Amino acid sequence: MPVLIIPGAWRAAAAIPTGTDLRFPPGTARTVLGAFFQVYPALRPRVLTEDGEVAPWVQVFAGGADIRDRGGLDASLSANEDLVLLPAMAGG
Amino acid sequence: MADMVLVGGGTALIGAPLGHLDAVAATQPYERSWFADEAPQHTVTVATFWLDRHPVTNAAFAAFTDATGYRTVAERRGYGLTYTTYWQQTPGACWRHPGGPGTGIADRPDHPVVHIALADARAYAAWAGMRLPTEAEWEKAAHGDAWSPWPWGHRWEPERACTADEWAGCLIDSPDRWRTWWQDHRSRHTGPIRPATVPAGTYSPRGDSPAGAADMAGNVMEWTSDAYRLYPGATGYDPLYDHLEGRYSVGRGGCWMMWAIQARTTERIAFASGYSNWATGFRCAADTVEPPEPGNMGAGRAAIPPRRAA
Repeated sequence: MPVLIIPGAWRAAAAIPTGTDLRFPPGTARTVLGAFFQVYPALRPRVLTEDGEVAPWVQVFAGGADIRDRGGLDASLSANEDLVLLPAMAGG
Repeated sequence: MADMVLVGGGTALIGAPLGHLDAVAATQPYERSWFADEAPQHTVTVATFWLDRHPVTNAAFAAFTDATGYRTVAERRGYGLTYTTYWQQTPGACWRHPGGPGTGIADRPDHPVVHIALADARAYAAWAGMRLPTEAEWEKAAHGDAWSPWPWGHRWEPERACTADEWAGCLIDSPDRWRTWWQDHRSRHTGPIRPATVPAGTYSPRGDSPAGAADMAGNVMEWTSDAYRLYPGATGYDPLYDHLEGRYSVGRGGCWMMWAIQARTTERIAFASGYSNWATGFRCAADTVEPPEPGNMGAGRAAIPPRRAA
């Protein structure tokens, strides 16, 4: 199942214990994120705009590629592909 | 008003000592791995170069756009990023309207220009006959050849830099304390607010670096010319940093809405391509400062005599 990888700082903000595996059923980037935000809704504004699109302050990578280059949130994830969320401004 | 300082060439210690990063991690909730990309310390040799004494101002950037008709990335895409309870996509926000429609810069000619993407900074630098500093050059100019966490020394003194701590009047050491300050800051304004930058060089000379550069901590984050790379031998860092390598570019210096630890000389901010917000700015560097060539559109800028660092 795809694993969602997020910054440690986001884990702290959402009180996700270190080491918690964020593993979700295969699907599209949208369905994986949807499942994630059902559990951790506070992180949704860090990733999606109010319109439900990928926000300009975040980068989403699937299989090492920017999902904006793979059809956006409708990009299909294979079972062994990780979904990586990165702030567009990272560090600090 | 624009002038430059000379940063002597040679070998500088780049990055932060492990003990310092341990201490930083212990003072706030983010994990130690978040700061591990500032290590290991290593030496870098750079040639002598000139650096803007302070970030490029609105007035200087206006001279550039007036001369060239250049439109920034934020102007072309139609929105800029501002902050309310999180980052917001604000239609019309750009360097001319840093808080969005209804906010301007007519009374801020000497503030650092903001909403600057890497392409914007490079375009200005090329026009001015200069370039962006490398990451190592920037850090060398910020603390000198030896490490210090802030441009003026080893002790955080908020009255030396434009940061959230200075605006709050207290040490900000947690996201909760930052949010308290931010809510108070917002509540003091009605309607859209502008970034709380200050005129470039306001904290000079008390906040200056050993090279005489102002605003190396706070005010605006500054683009460097380098792509983000982990330092050779880096260990124990957040795994996400692997994804930044080669994809992101490096900004330095912290800004008006950041805390003390984010305005350190070794702090590395990684920006995605095309990114900008109401706290991103830049300053220029040059290998030599010479009279402008005929036809050089940056003539007005380059003709300003540089100031040699004390």
